[in-house]
Amino acid sequence: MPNEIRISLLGHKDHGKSTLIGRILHDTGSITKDRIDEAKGICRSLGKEFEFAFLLDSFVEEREGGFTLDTTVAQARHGDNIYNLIDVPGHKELVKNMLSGASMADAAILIVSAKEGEGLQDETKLHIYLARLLGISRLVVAVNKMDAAGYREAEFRRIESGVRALLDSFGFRGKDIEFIPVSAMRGDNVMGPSSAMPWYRGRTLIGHMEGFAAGGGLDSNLRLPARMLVQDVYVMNGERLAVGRVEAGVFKDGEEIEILPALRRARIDGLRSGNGSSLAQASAGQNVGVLFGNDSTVGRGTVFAESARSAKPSSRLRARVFCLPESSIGIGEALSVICGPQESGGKLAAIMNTMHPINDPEPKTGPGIAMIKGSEAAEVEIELSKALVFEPFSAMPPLGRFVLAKEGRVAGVGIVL
Amino acid sequence: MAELQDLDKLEEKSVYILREAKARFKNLAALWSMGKDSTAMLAIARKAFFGRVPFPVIHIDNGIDFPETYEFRKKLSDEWGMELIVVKSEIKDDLSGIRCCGANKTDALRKLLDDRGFDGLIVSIRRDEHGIRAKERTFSPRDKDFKWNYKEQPPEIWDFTSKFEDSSHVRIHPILQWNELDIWRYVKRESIPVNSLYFSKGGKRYRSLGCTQCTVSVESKAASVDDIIAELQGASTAERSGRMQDKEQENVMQRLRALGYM
Repeated sequence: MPNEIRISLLGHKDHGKSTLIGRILHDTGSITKDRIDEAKGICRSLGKEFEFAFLLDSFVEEREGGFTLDTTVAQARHGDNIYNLIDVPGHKELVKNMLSGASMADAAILIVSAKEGEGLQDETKLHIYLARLLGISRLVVAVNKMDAAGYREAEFRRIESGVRALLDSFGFRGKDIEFIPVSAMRGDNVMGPSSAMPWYRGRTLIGHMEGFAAGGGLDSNLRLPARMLVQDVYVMNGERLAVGRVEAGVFKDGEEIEILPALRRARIDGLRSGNGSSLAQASAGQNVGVLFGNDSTVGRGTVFAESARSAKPSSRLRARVFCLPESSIGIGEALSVICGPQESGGKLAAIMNTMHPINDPEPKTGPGIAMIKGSEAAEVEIELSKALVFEPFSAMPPLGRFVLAKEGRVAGVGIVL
Repeated sequence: MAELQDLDKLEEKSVYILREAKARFKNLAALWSMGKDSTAMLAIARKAFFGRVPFPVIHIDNGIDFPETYEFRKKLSDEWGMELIVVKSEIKDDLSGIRCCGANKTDALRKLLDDRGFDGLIVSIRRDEHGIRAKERTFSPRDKDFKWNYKEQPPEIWDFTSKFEDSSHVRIHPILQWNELDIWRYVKRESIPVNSLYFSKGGKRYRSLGCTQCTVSVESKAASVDDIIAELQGASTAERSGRMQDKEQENVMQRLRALGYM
């Protein structure tokens, strides 16, 4: 089986995210000739030159306006790997669409244009900040439009040093992150080395993508303590069967588990696969039915945890949140806090600091901050109306992230500190 | 063209989505065209729900599907014990310019959802079929007028999906991330029955199935599932090239989908 990996493109609008994906699809032979011909026909009918971005941007508005409105995923195959390339919009107003794409990613390619007057921009900053918040640690920077910058090393180095400093300030280890000079439009350093830039001796973009794929996808949760979030309880032949996905670790038939937030213990009386057969164990990523001894507290939102290293229910949590541009979150406002099938009412009890990733070089602290404004991040205390099971995002990602909704609409995203 | 995705992983994702749908909607139904995609989806549902399909399956029937399709409908719905709902759609001029399966089918569907009060509708579209379908969310609300507000899609972040309180119904897309070849490999692995029109007769077969009016067969010698898999691994044209509603020039698909087409 090939390695599969999900890679999100990140970066400011018009710096070439869709174009680069289109280029990769084209050069890896991952798109049919009739699709390419069709995109060429559309470009002609709009009086435009053929653009690789048209292989991704399918809405009329996107094609006529020359921008990406919403996220999409395109699949490229090369060598033994499958790359699910996630295109996201660059516009800061469209950050909810960006998060819908980027939250799925195992790794990311940040694009920064080297063209005069482009370079490091608002959404470059915003996307670096959000990548960090989402926990995307594997990142490569493609310095794009090198053709428009005369393929000059000086331009590349200038962008590189600016972006490295920014990466550092947002908590990445800037010196460990590699930069590649590319032209998505012309294909330089995408699939093969560019003759126009002999001064660059590093890996090509596909070389980096191969590195990401070799590192694997989300299977890393396998080594964590066992956790499962119950989606539903079915009654089968008179027995109650809790169904859900194992989020981390491995559950074994016959072992003792903890049922949270009720804090009760039970023994796994059986694990069932979809065709009804018994399983000896179920691992991270697998959907399973668990016979659990009919504990009446078990329902949608219950968490099963391995006993030895138990998670704890809590009605107060410390978190870092990002507020969507079109929203705001004030202390005391009624919110829903949602983590998979777990959900509770809640409110902000305190805001320790806020930071606008585009405008603020560092967080603004102090008492008296009463509201997180649109496009701001903040460190907060959240009070829940009922206890849920949360763990620090850095230790247990599936139980360390949540969405905040206000009046039924998403207002922000957060990670548990 | 041939991407060999891990079928186990794809199946796990689809099972998770189907169980979410069952847990979150009061009155769920699925569209079943008797094509390979919606049939494979139902096979996955039988795994998600331990051997049964716990929601009705809807065929929007314009009366001019192929005889093989009707035979297959009868055979499989009996064998799998599914509750089948057949809704007749009219054949007449509509705004899409496709008389058989454009807006007329959408109108028939809309009436059914109103009558039966379905709040969740499972639709077996795939991202690789069409650029517009690639832009879809897994859970996608349709508004009171049945329209897809694609400019304001609700966020899906991690496993989070919105609650859609102001929608008429929500489309659920459990196999969005599968591609054509994955479906055929899954059909083979799970021995899923498929419509005989997919197999070559007299040098031609159907690669994508609509009704007798808007579906064109392709040159092919593929007479078995194995042959089809081999053929697709070398294919250089898109699957729905024989389907009229996919023509890009006039943005037909976008207009149809915005109005509630599948």
